[in-house]
Amino acid sequence: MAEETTASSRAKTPAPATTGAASALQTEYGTTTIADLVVTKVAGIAAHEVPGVYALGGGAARAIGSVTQLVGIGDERTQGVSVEVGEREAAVDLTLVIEYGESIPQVSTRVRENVIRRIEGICGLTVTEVNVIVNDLYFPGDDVPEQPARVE
Amino acid sequence: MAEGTSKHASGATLPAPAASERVELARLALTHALAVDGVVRADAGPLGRRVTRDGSERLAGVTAIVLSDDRYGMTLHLVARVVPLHLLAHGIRARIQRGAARAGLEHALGPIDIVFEDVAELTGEAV
Repeated sequence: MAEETTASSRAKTPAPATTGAASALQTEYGTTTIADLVVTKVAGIAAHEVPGVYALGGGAARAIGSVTQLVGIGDERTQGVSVEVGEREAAVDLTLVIEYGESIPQVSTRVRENVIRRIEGICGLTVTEVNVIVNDLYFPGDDVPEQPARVE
Repeated sequence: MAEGTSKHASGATLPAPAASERVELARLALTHALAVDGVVRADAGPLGRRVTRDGSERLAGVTAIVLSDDRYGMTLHLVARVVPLHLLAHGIRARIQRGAARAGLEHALGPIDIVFEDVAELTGEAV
């Protein structure tokens, strides 16, 4: 179950970073560089803040993520988030699981707005696009533990 | 042996050599950066190469390189809280510049490059 909700295209590609995997804000007193990991985490946190978003990442990513988090090397905040960061701009791809009953277009719009607001506010980067892929729906009954058997 | 001294080959105890201007600036920059609210810690990198050596001590997360005009360009690798990072960088630069002026080192202070490597809580745990 996957639905592409983005209407934008990648016509506007972020400027290439001067240091490969990082972005920079240039001033006369020095350069501020924000690592991709930082932008990824900010985008992940921003997406989680929106009501109706149950989780980030596809099924496989979440399964692997749950294992890596158990052994302390995984990070839920970066799961399902992919970024391209340039000197002044960033583009974000998000894979979401949305709660059943929520409007997917509305949740996607709110996620897009919040991600742009957070990245621009925290990192000082202009966000050129936020592509949202709704990968699955969450049904509240999915995580209810099975009733214990009445007889043994 | 008392701190700040070293044993000469002849057996005489000599005072430790004063830190170079480069190392003094690196220490000053690191100290002032870590004192800014919003900075969690410095990051020496996965291989521990982003350091400045001060004798036997390692100043993690800061490098200082001489420029063609004899000033030192500083690079700080930091982990910060989730706050506006560009504003935090301005605050860090201003504080280092004030500290260098107080220490009489402003003539040697070049551009201060700041790299935010990660974001974390104050405890150092990744968010």
